[in-house]
Amino acid sequence: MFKHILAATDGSDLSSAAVATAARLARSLGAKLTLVNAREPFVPAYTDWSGFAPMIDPDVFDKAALAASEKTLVAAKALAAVEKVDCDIASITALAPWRGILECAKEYGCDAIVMASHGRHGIGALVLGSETQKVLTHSTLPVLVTR
Amino acid sequence: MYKHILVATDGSPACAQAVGEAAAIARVQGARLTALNVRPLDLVHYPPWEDGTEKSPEEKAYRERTREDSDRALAEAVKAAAAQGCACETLSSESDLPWQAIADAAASRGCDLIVMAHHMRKGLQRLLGESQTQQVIARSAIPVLVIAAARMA
Repeated sequence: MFKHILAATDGSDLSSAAVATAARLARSLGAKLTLVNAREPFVPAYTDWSGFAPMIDPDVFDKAALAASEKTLVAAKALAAVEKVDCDIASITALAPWRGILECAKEYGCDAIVMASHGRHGIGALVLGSETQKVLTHSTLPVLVTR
Repeated sequence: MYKHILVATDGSPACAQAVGEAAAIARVQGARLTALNVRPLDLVHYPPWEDGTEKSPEEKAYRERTREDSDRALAEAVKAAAAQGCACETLSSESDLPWQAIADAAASRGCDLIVMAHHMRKGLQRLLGESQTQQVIARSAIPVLVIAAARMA
């Protein structure tokens, strides 16, 4: 049975529900739980030769992104704590969240992934959230898709 | 946590793996387990008649074959579940929309988790055909556990 569950969160309400489910599942199976949030690395959108556009300092961006990511993870960890489950948190950079999630699962030796069907963009337009879809397409581990 | 788990199977090895995972979870959580096989309705060649009879020997042979495949798939599921120390109820239904039958079965049985293999078809069909799993996920009000057995080495 699953020994180490990885739950992915992007800070959305739907993600939070997924974290709660992952925590309950981990507790009922006696499994370890790790929460992961994939944040964007700094990618300059364009090269401005005119000198008019304000340049974002990569360090400033990275610090802000990391802070936001950790805030999400700390909140998620608190949700897991409500279910009386202790967990590790991991903030990773990834151009493609799905890739980061799968690499994180591999690095931590997880044997199952839990994520919401949809994330920040909500349930409206897509049949299935884009990152969840990609994780499902590429994962060799079982993926629990929560609603 | 889960009280009644529904696992869909078509008898393929990928689905056998899904049944194994479903049974393991059911055993640990003390949940009921139901294995479902959806017999494909061939609406192109054999649309059902209103009086429910089979009009041609080919049709009869087709329906018989799907019933045999279904029984075999479900028998294997029961065996796979037993190997995990878990009892397994079975359900066979007939539909041209497997995802619909799966969703309906989960709703009618009050299941709170659906377990499916990621893919049930092989090769080009896999790329061109509709993913039943994705359709179930898109419409399901309950969580869906997707087992990527076919992709595992």
